[in-house]
Amino acid sequence: MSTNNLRVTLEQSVKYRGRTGQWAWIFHRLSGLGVLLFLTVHIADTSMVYFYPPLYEEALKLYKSVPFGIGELALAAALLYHGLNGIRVALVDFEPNLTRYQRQMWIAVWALFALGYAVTLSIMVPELLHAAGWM
Amino acid sequence: MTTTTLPSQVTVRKLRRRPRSLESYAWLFMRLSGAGLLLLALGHWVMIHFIQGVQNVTTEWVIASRWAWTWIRVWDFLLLGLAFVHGLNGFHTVIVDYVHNSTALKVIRLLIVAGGAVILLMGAVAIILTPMR
Repeated sequence: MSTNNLRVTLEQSVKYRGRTGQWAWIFHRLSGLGVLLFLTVHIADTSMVYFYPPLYEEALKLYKSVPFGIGELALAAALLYHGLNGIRVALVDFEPNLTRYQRQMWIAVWALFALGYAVTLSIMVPELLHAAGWM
Repeated sequence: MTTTTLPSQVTVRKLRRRPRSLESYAWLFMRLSGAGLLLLALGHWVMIHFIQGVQNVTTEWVIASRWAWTWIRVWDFLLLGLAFVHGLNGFHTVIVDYVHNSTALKVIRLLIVAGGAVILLMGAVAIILTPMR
């Protein structure tokens, strides 16, 4: 291997200067990987309801902990962004003429994200504070 | 200086007369499953986080108040299948971007399929075989 793959990737990512399109892409990739990582563990632990309930009980203790509650807020953000940006990707894929409005569509994604996340926070933060004993 | 000649309409129609590749089905699957997942995943989130609240989740609740309803089992089953395959395919896309050695790719693909199948089966078995209340 004559060129270091990681180095080339990082160098070129900086040089590309793709602006909003490039950010949209990297956030989509990172959020997807993050959700997948969680999902794999989540499927395994929930299946313990059938295979070995004591392990599920242990998992629940973790899920109800405050650090994990904070992690859930990050998960919600990742999921919401990935889904909304995904719609944008699919729309442009099926109607390429929409490429002209790429930037506006990304702004719309963030607007919807802000809305959805505000609702999510308004419900999950009080619950988290209550679990932490601060409310 | 060469100029490119666009293919005639007849040529284009003849070119398309080949079967769809696995990759192009995968491409379509990502978009269709993604749309379905928006409803399934966000709905799941609402059920667990907004309606019940994570602090109120118990094993008993899962068995007696969720999986006692067949439609919820069907929902969870679809969510499981679509989300995990959607995610694994996405993961594969990322891998292909950065790994170019063909042997390494073969090994990684095998791991993704094998590992994915194990997890998928664990989830499916749990959803289907947990005794009904």
